[in-house]
Amino acid sequence: MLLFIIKRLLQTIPVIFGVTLVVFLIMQMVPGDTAQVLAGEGASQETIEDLREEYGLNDPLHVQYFDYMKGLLQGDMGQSLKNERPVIDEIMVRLPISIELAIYATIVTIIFGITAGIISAVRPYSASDMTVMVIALLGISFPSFWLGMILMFIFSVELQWLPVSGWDSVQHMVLPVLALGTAGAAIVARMTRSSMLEVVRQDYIRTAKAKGIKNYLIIYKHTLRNALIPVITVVGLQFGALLGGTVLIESVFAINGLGRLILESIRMRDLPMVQGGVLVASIIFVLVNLFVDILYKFFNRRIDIN
Amino acid sequence: MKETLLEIEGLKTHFITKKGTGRVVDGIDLTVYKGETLGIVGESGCGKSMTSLSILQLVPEPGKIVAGSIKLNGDDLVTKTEKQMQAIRGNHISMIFQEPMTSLNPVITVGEQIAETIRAHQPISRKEARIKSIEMLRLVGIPSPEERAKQEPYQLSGGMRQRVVIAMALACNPELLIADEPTTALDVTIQSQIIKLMKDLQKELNMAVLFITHDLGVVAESCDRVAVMYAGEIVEKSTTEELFRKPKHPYTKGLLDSIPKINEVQEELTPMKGSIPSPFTEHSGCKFADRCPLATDICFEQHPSLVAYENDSYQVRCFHYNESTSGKDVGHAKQS
Repeated sequence: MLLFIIKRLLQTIPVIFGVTLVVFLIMQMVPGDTAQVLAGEGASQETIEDLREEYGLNDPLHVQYFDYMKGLLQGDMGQSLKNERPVIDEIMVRLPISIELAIYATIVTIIFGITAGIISAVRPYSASDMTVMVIALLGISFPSFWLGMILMFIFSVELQWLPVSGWDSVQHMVLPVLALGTAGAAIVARMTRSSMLEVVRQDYIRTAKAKGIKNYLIIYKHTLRNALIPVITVVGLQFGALLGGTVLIESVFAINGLGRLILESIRMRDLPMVQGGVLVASIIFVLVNLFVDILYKFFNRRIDIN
Repeated sequence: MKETLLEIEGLKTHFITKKGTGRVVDGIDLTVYKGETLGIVGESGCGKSMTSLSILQLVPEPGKIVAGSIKLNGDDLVTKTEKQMQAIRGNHISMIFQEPMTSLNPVITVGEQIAETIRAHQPISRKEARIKSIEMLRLVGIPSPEERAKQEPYQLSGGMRQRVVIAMALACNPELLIADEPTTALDVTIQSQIIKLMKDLQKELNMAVLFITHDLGVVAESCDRVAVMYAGEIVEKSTTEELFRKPKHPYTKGLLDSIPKINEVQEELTPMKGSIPSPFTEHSGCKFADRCPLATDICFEQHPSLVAYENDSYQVRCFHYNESTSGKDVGHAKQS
């Protein structure tokens, strides 16, 4: 187990290294001239040239990448081209908001998803099962940003129960968290259902019945515990997908998280900021996956050995 | 006089599907006396497992008990509600399944799996149940039961797991233990250990055992009486001794002939031709007629009934038993 964790940790190093390379190259391929943006409209050709020299934009690519990596290893992601603040500082302000959003959405995913999955699986092909599964299908089909706008229209504009945008109080959080967590909840519901139906057919469930164990214990103790093992992986992967979803949701609800920061920076051609933002998001994604892998291995150890 | 524990009369368990009706168990009469071991023998698919699941009212969908009664101490189980059955399962009647590898829950410690059975039927605390579960593990011969109780099934070998399954089944001192191929998945050496263990415990706890198997060797070792099943019916019923001394139904003879014998030089085994008919097939005559070396016209036209001979000391379902063989040993009918 420990060996597995160490091995898996070491594997993340080349992955993160690869991410830096890809992020760097993509930024180079983005159309538009950074120096031009920096200098602003109507700047002289001279000013642009000076800026280009100052920021090392004239150096060959590998030199630029090397410089970038050197800074990165020292915890320096460069400075924002917009306001010259260190990129890392700006990210550290925005990141917690996005993580908060993603975690709450994951909680919604888990609670709603698993509950719905159980309701479905207990009486398969019944009316309650069908209802839950139709809702789940809709949940998967709606894009989160669209759902966000619809929710905003209903609850904020028409009913005026909840604020339209921002991230200041619990009321502010309800809609973005729901919009972001719905798709995941729907996927988890379907996964929980199919996994439970699979487990119900196992011999040990028949054994439990033959022992005279009560129905609710068979569902919660014997079935669910086994059925949740594959669901853990799905939840983990969903968390990664949620990080991507935050970009859209933060835009829709005007939340100042990492996603919105990246989006704004792209619009401003604030290259170091985009690079830093994408890199941090990627590293989080890799780490979450690592965590899920370890968790899965832990829960699956009994099955692995068979 | 032997006291009756379980009495099955006219049991029919059918699978009703769009394709038709599968007569998996098709009219079975069985009696299990207190403290005895009754074997049910037959090929895979003859309905022996469904008979046992019928007793516990655990027949899987779309199977259904359509006729008959199953009386435990005179009390009909077929009419019981699910809740009433829960109080009987694991308490009065326990069951051991074939696969020790899959019949234990992989994510629950073995101690807890035994303890929960006890708590399902007895008003005792968690702690008392845990102590009792360790006692049970010791009873079935598991070394250092205190440590083993805390382990999960994957940490135990196949033989150990089957011992755990037995401990679980016996935890509430059942009157009847149904053992469905309890040794089939085990190595031969472990097999005999488990059979010996079951026999010892049976004596100690004074319970009856319904032993379901396809292995005649296991029957010889462990059963007092045997019922031979074929295609959902009982074709022969007698004491184990009588069955091996003088098998009467051609199917039983076929089964015995297909076992290699240790004291004879045999170039080839004598397998029975054909295979068991699908439960969905309609029969007007004897279900075994297609495979029977003795079959004549009557066998294809009329359905034989189970007839008792010599003061009900044995029963046979065959038209040819009485007329051609009564009183004398026909020997093992070979295929011509």
